[in-house]
Amino acid sequence: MYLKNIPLLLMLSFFLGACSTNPASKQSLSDPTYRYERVVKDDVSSPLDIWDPLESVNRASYRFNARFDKYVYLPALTGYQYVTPDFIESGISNVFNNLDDIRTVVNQVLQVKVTEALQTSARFITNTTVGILGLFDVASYFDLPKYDEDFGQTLGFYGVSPGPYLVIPIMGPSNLRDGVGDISDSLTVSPLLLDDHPDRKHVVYPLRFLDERAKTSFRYYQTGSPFEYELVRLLYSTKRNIEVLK
Amino acid sequence: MRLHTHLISQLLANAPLFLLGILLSSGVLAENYYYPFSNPYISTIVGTPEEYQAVLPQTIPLQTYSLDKEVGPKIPDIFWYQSGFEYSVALQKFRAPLIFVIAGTGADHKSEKNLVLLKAFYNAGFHVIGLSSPSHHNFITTASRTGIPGHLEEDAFDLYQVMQRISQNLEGKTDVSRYLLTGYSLGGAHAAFVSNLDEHEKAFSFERVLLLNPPLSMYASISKLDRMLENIPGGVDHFNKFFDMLVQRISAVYRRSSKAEFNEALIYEAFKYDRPSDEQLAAIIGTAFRLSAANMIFATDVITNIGFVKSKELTLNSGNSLDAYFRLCMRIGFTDYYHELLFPYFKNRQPLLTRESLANQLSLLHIEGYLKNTAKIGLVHNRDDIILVKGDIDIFEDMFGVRAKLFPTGGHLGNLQQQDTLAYIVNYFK
Repeated sequence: MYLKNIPLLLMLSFFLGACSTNPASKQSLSDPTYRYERVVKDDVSSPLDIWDPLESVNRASYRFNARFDKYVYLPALTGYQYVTPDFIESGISNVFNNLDDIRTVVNQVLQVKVTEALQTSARFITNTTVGILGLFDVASYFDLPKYDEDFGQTLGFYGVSPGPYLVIPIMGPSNLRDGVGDISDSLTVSPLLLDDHPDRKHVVYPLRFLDERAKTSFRYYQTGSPFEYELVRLLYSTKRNIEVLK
Repeated sequence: MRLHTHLISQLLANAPLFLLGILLSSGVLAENYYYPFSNPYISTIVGTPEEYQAVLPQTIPLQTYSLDKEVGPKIPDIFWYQSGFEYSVALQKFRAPLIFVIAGTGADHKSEKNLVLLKAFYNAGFHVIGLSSPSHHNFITTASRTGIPGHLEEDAFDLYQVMQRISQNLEGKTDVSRYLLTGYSLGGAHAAFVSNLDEHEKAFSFERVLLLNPPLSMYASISKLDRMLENIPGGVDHFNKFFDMLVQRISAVYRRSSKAEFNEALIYEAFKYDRPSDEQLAAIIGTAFRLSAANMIFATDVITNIGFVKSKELTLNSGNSLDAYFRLCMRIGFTDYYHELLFPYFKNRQPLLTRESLANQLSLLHIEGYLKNTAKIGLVHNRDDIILVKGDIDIFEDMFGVRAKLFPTGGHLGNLQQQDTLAYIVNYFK
């Protein structure tokens, strides 16, 4: 599923530099009571200083995502939760969480986090065996910590900067580093698709897609802020910076 | 005989316990209020830890509905996502009282605090309706006649209109025995003004009204909250450094913790082990309040096209960057909004208006006679609430008398979810 984003990412990076977000021309406009130039000092740094050269494309993408969420993603999720008994839903969620541990352990090894990699391996083995292919999160009962590492964090660990902020259609907020990371992670072999059942992906991908949404409590335009785009950009970037540091 | 002395000595040995039992049952020590924080800033930020919380249902059948926009300026393209006035409803299947809950500054109908109240009231067998604050983006855009929030009487009028429309929509769907009203923070002040309006209009004839931690004077409270940002070391220009410090602090706790999730509990942990100073805590509260003000100011400016932070001739669309406006609005406070937008707007309508007389109108003292003499209106407040100024509590005690329930601690609504507080609030309406 992430693979579909490659052409898109290439397209977006093509825009890089080619388009800039010039503020609207200020000629022939009357001054508002408070003018930016008079109130905000240029030399003062702000947490809002996040590189977003593709802002106009990103904003369009954000708006598209909000509509997609409202008219497709959330109704599909509601339908899924309606037809699926809760224990099956949580079982499916556990299976995907368990599979995510493969991605996590690969990236822990890449970051030479030995103890964590061993803990995650133990977690994966426990849940796959005792937890019946991950349906039950037995490892948490044994207090095995759950980590979440991805290739974006690995790149960050080795000093790759986040690059420009991106809002990827359907996938949501990201940046060039994490977008590339997601693509690499999607190349990690999924055991669910290992044997010759090519049709299985038609079930696995949509389920995973729904499960991802179920796990995200965010709802578009519920922040009550007209600056939601800026707030999400700030929170995403801050959160990723913190995750990379861990 | 021996047996007797034994009994007596046993009684004597247990006397202190026995006396304590009498004291407890007679109410001398009856003020049981278990709230863990005595620092009002901590209370305000952290709220009530789980072990002190009232037990509430995980979920209630709360639905969000929307009213078509009927009043106020046309919604500009940039606010395309604001299509109607949103509110939340959960109804009982039987005849029951219906309570309206008005949210605080910048908060919406299902804000965290509104949800606590809605759940508690629903749990107690009431029909519940959650309303966004008139200062919330959605309210400003879809339910305000002027698009300019902050004038309590005008806000109350707008609130009263949507409440009546909601009530009409519910006709035939539910059986209401009596109407009740409450609100927290600014919503508490709104509840007082709505109740006052209802005395003349009588659409609901509220049976009981409870104000939860309202400001006495809105102007005094917003000035105080605005000033809290000045606590940032080096001044507001150093906000970035302050923000970095907070992020680093949270990040450090996150690295230490064995859990990998990044959530509110983590922020709580960050405070627990490495407590920031009162000044820093105040600055955090000031920042949160400033964000609400920034949202409100920009929404108001765009919908009224009054030329406050955006040039009147400029029409923004959804592709435009709002970054500069965000930065600008974060540097303007609620008090600037009061002096440079709210006051000039009403001065235009009432030429004799002064800044002081407007400030006096935006205060519970403005309807003091009503609040003092109306038995159905009660108050819940905390003696250490940070939005109050010196002397406010005395005025409240005088105004509400025995109808005022004052808790010793809790800061600004930090104790809302605390067992005794919430029990008092719910029982008030029973």
